[in-house]
Amino acid sequence: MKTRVTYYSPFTLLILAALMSVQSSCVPNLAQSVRTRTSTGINTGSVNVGLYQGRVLADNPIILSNNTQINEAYDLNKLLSTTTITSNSFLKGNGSCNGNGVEYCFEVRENKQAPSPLQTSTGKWSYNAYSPEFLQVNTFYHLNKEMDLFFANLTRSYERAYLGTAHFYDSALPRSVQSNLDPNQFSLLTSPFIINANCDEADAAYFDHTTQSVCLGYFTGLPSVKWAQDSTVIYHETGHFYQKLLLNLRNSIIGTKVDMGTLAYDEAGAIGEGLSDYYSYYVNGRTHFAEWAAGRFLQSSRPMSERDALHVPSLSTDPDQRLSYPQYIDYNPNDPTVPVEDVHYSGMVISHYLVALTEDLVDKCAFSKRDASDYVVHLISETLAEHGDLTSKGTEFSATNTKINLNATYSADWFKVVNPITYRSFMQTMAKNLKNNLASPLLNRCNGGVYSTDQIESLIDQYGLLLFRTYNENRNDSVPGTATANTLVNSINRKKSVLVSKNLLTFDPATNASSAYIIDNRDQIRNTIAAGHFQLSSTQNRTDLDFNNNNGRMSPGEVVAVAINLYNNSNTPMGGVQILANDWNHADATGKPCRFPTTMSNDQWPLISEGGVPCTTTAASTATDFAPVCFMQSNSNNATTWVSQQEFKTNMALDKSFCLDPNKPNECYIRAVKGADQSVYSKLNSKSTWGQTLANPTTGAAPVLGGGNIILFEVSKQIPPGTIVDCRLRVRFTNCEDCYHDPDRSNYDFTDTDYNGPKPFKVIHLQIPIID
Amino acid sequence: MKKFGPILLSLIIATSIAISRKSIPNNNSTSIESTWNTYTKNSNHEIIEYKTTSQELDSAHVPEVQSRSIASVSERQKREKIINANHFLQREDRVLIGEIQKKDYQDENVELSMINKINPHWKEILGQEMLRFQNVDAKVMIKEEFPIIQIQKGEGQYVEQVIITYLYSDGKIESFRALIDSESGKILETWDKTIRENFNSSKHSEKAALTLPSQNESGIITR
Repeated sequence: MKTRVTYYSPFTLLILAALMSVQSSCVPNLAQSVRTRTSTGINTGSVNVGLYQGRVLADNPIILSNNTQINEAYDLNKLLSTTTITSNSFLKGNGSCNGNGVEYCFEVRENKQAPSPLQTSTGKWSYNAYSPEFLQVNTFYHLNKEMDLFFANLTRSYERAYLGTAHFYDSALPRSVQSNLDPNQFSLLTSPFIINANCDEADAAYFDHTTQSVCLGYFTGLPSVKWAQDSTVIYHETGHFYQKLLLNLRNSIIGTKVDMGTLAYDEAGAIGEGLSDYYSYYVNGRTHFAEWAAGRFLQSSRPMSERDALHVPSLSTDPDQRLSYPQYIDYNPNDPTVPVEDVHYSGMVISHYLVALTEDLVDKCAFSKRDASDYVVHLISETLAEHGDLTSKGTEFSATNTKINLNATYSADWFKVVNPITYRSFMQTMAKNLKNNLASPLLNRCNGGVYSTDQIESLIDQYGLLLFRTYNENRNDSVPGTATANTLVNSINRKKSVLVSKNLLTFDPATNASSAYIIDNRDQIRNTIAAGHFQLSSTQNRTDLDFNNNNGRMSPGEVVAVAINLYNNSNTPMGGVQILANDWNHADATGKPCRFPTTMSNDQWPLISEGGVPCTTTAASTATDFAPVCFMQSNSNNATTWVSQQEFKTNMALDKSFCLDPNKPNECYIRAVKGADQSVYSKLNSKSTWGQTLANPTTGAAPVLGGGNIILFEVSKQIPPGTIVDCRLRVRFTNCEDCYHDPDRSNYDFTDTDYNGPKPFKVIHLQIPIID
Repeated sequence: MKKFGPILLSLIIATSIAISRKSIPNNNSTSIESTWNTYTKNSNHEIIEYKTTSQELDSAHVPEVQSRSIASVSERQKREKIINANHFLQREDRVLIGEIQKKDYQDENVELSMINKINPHWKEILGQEMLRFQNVDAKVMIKEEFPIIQIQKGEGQYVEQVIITYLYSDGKIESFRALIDSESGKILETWDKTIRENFNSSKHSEKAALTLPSQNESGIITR
């Protein structure tokens, strides 16, 4: 945050002033441009504004005017109030990024091109509501408020977890980031968090992790309507920054880190959006997000309570009428008749739960609303810090480094694909943290008593999220002998949460229905690769994808998307259906396909006579414990067998230099593209496919596949036409009865090593002919 | 005297511009930031590489704009400051990460077998790869953040931590961090992807780019 200052002589300044006055008559004034109205940059009303004070929109214009139909021509200057902004000369926070003072630092700039934060020469910050300066001051005021709250909360989180060198419970908050000298100091940031308050972004705001900056845009139809005029958007976007911090609290500053979700639809991304909405509630105590920026003109605001008038009448705070999972996962209150697969709307389940929890803590523990939401934010911090731990230790007093995300070598894969954050896993960890903090009879933190596990479980159940059998205190520890006892959930409290057997997830059984599709349209595949920034292993699949022939079949040299047509054959919706095509332990050390016993897998494939070898355990420690999903059919020696790609290559006498990746002969001919090796469907309604679940009920129009709904495969041009490949995929869903807890181990969760095998999944096969 | 007025004014203006220019960094310089490189395609789909310009850095909102003119020095200092402040171990001037507790790998006499070598062209390979499926008008900027040795199962791998930023012709930016194999230029891990909130519901369908074939002729058999 060094600011370079250039000194000019008085003579030069005089001439520059003259030049500027000449220039100003020639150059169009930005203030007169289409997106800026009366952008004078002149202080208004500063006579009544004291030193360090400025004028802001204390909330968004809808709330301040108490008029949901306020129109864009309404003079926002009428809604401004005067408050203290900062005694600094620039719109910068007080903290430092390099180890001194309260170590959170932030600043607000006009836009990406602005060389520095706004500066005041008078010590006052009062501007016309339509000026770029106002947007910056308004943003700074709200950001400063949120930052103070959040970091004060983090300090209290440490106080809740630790007392000197002692600890109250096994916390995920790492002591290494808190200063020994001053508990209010955290070594978290090496560069400031920046908000650009007047970005040239139509109908959008975004958080760029790499520059640690947020851009707040404008509304296309009405350029005077700016996102920075809506404080809830500032709170929400900054909430993504907090999540980044918290998820990586236990990770090294240098090296791999983790994100909330993949950016395609997934439940981690949905929860991230819901948490960001909750951070808005945390600051302003209101249960609605973006009434002005998103709601008034774009009909895309979001409630956080069932009491909100935007909701359908069937929702209420009655225990049976909550916004529950997975029923409402595709529900858009702005257009409730049309289902939508979108992380923002799916995230409403978690934001509603968190608001309900806050209200329940007010009710049961006699907390103030501020203290209750403060506690909930603390629980979120603990939960995220634990889930994101790539060291695999999970909590400070864990005895092993194998407690979460398998181990440090494979943890990123476990976090992203194998055991990612879902509604189930997130709520299970939240429940554990609630139990550690508020249900502990040793701490008596709920009005001198406890917030009981029954109360914890009952509220979670009202949201359909009591999907776990234990509190999973020892997590998914794969090292035998280190597991401690897990606290069981009282099954009587599971009234609304319904668990469904994985066997009821099938291919579409309708007559003539396709169970899987291949999409090999050149432009669509190219756009998918470009949008996901996926990296193919091979230069065989050339830039123009000229082997892709758009015939809906898999051919040599193509890159194809595979969409699988799954069907929910149960009477309950399935949420968070995930299809995995990543490497897993289903081959022996020589690459021969495993035939698992019935106690481990449903597929009973292949027969020993077809090349299978018996496998009875799952491992996840050496490279040979991870086999690619696709095997090849071999017709040599008058027998048809299934063999590894390496064996097929040897049989074909193909030099490894012709493989997709010469260093990986086991995926010589076909491989799932890393990053696109899983697909997710938000929900399958009862007796429905994904297409039926998301079809427009009025027009009957089927949903269009997004990048997260397909798996990408690249196929070698060396693969002989006529060859059949068998891709052995694993599927599961979030409210699955037998995908997460192991009846053979007292319903404890499967270990992370188990997740490298077939047992927690339903195994499905795609036998794909390669057609020229 | 009236004739000299405009001449004198012109002289003053020219002199003052000359003086001022000495104080203002040259925004068009191509050598101000040694760690950023830009890759783009020309109309023949050939990849072109050059040092990232100030305008591109501005477009990508790279912070500390004003100090970039001395960035080749300050970036190193900033990197060293982070490494020292967080007590990272180093070997061969690279940060050690991974399973680093088992031996004193900082001591270069301690044997560490490496599974790869450092290819001086890793960045060009990466740049080409990142543009491979992008439109002609897309640019990708790559910044080296930290040179690393990652130790797993007793073996070391040279890797590079980088920031990859896409600049699209419509002004949109997308960026993320990645770990790159120092020999092959291939991506090992990615994170820190830009989170974009499109409030306009009609834009929600932008990501949906795949349509099913009208008739399924894949021949796939499922079990």
